[in-house]
Amino acid sequence: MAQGSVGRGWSLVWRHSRILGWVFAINLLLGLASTTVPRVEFQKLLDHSLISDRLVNGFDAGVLIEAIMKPDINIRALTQGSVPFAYLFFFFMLFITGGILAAYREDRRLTTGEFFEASGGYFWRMVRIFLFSLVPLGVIGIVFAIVLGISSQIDNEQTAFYVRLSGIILCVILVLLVRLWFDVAQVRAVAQNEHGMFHNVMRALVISLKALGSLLWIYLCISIVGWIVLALGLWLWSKVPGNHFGISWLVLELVMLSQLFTRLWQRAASVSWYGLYAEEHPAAAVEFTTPQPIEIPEPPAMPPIMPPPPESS
Amino acid sequence: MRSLRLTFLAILVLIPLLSIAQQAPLSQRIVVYNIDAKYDAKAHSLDATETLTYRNLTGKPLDRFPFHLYLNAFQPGSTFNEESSRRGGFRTGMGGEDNNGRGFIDVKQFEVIGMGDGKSKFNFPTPQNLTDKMKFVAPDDGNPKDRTVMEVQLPQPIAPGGEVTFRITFHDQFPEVIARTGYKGDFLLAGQWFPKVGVWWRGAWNCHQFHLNSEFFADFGTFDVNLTVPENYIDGATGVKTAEKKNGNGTKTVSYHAEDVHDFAWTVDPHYIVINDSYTTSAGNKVAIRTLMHSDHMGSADRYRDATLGSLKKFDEFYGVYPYSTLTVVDPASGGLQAGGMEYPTFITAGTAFGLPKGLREAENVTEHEFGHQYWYGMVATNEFEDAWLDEGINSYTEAKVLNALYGTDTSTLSMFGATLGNSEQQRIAYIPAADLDPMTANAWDYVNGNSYGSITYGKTATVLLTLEGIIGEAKVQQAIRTWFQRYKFTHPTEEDFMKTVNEVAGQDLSWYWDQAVKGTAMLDYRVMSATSINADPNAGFKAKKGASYDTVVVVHRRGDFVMPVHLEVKFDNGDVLHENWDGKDRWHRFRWTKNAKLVSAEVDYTHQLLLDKDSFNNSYRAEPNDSATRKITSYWMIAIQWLGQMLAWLT
Repeated sequence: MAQGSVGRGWSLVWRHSRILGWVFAINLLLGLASTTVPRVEFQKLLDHSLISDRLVNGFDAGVLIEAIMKPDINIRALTQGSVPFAYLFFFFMLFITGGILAAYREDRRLTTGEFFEASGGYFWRMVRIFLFSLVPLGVIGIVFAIVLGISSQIDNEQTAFYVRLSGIILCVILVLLVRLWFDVAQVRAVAQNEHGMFHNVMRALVISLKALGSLLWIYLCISIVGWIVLALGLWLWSKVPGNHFGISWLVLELVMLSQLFTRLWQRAASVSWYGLYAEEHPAAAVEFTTPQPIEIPEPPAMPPIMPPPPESS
Repeated sequence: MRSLRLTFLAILVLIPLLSIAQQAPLSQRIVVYNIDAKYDAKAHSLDATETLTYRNLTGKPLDRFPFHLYLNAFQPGSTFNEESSRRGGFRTGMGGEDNNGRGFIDVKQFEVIGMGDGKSKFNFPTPQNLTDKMKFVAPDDGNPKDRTVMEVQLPQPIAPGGEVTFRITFHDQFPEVIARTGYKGDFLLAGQWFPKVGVWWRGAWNCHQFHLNSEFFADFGTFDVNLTVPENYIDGATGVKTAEKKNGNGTKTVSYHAEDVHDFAWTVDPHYIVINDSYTTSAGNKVAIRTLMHSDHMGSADRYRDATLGSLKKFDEFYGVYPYSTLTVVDPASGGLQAGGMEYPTFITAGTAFGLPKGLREAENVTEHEFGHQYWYGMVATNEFEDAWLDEGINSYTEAKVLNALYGTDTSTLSMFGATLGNSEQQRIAYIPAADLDPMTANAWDYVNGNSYGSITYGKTATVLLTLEGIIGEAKVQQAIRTWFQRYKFTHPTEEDFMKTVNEVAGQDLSWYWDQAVKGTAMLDYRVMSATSINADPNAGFKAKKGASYDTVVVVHRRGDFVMPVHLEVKFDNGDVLHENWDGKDRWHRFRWTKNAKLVSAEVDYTHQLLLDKDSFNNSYRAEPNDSATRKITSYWMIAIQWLGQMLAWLT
């Protein structure tokens, strides 16, 4: 089931590549918008100065450091003027999660109206699921802080490094587990049209634990592919000559696209997996809302209020 | 046969004589230290007896002797502590939350055991006990709680040319590693661990307290040190190891001898991995290099080795021969970074990290820098309290020269993922934040804060000398530094000696430069204030015809108070390139040309030699803006924000 879900997930994303395209376009546009303030800040310093050539032909870190040290470049303004666009993308993705899941579940091209109707219809449920997910993610954060604390107490740097690395791997797996759990909750919210999100999250936890092996396999497989593509992309980027920054930008955008693809692939695989799971476990997966037939007991024989009239002869 | 025998005898006599002649002292040996120390590895403490003979070459009778007791810097209320809590920064704190982790030195007994008048010498049958004559003094700030300097008044003066021998019994408690000394686990770096006599300099005792931002100053002499340490511990120290014997009680005693040095440091750790190497100098003498590594840093072993050998070679080539027969390179234990990046005679501590990327040349940087100190702190031996720039600063300049030669001018500090940084530029960047805060000549403890001390002493000095290359030429500056070393090694020269030497080699009086760059806080900043080309024909209208005549005007502005001549390069769109000079004395200067070409760019200091110029962005102006750099930076910025957005969205 797991392997099939990975493949079907890939096909779903591919068939609905319009979604990927739009998500990437929004990511790209918000990224572009985030450069407005930095562009103005750097323009006034660099565009008329010959020293800026040292950033174009290669990348002289000294020039960048000197630029950042200058009072002309206001790092706070740069951050405040660009980081909100990252938050906007976050809210955008939170908003359209319901629409994406509906499109993957129904496996048909939704009209724009249908897509946004689904997005809006499920939005508050997705918000609630996200808020619930912060609890286990916070716990993982604490685990990570503990690992860091332990590793900082270790005298041998090599051992400390491996402890930290093990901690990171452990936390990544834990985060993946949380992600797949809440992805199942999101899918379930859409598939079952659930309204009680706490109950839904708990039910998703039970389902995820029961099928932990296959779900983790799905998520790990897709993540590993994503990480490999990321590493390859960065390697390729490092090989692009410094003055060909158009090409290097293109390579990095392809890396961005691949990471979005990976995430949608995980979502699509979870939708596909849940469909199969629901077929195999109808009782466990589907909560019947149709009332069971009620057996009405025969009324007890009532004593005659009045004795029957004597039969006349 | 007899004559053959005589010749043979003569040779036998001559060989040792020749060898003695070869081993003539390199320095005026003023002090002779003999120390017997027993280290308690569990308590990180030691008990020792020091016998110090001091030769009075001051030309005056001396009856008062100051001593450094550096380890007391780590006690509450000390000047070091006051300064570190006020200013913060690297190498601060007390090395522990309570007295268990704090360092101190306790002089148990102070005796005079012998005297001499230069001709004869005798030991007292009964040593004069002066323990109750010891008193703590605070010559710099009068802090009564500071116990880093003690003074002893002798009952009778030591005549000029005479000598006195002290016997000092003391107990050290090492701190958990801090400010260049202390322990971390089993690792110990014992620096500044024994009572060290001050220096008679410029007609007075020079013995400053231990400050947050100051280092050391001491007289040359010989050291014979016996260290009793656990038998399984691996040791390293200043000088040459002369003996090692097992004591049969789980300890061993190792003996070290060092000549013509002014300090003695040592280290022990049972976990050291020893790497032996050697280097033969241009004079033919062999230097035994001993690197003491920790297992988790073995990935940096080759990097240390290459930097050490490369530095020995380049210093030999640029400045002179390393005269000692040993060099010990210590890799501090993990968590012992405060012991790293420190220099002691023939003994340096480097610093690295597990998995340090190769393109980040931190291990090489530190190793070269500390080795460079062997020349400036170690042999020229300037006063690091009062003239810190003569050691740290000149050393930062030579660091740039040596590392640039070894690893490339543009890549000697960083070469990773297409990003590069050269050491010269690193020095300049270090100087910029505090460019006009303090003069280089300030006492180390008088800087406004630790950042200014670091920026000015290291970064500014290096940048001043790199800029000087633009004035008198690189070869002249290098020659001046070589002359400075050759002329003043094993003495304690002053700032004036340095500037005099450079003037002499340059063949010109550079007072105008020293006054502004070294003694003053003037800021250097030239800029192209405006650069325009206007059609010379007022009736030409907006649309210029081909071959039209243009008036080009470039205004160069001196923004800072630092005055020095500058050169201007102006490029035109017909390919013409003009070079102009300006003495820089006025606040601004206007250049004007009428040509059948329009201005492309104007650049002041177009050879990029005025590294002291605080703002390199305003040095040039191009008529047509080129946004390639802006696009490159903002494209990376864009990717970073997209990535951040995706990371956040992953949570939804």
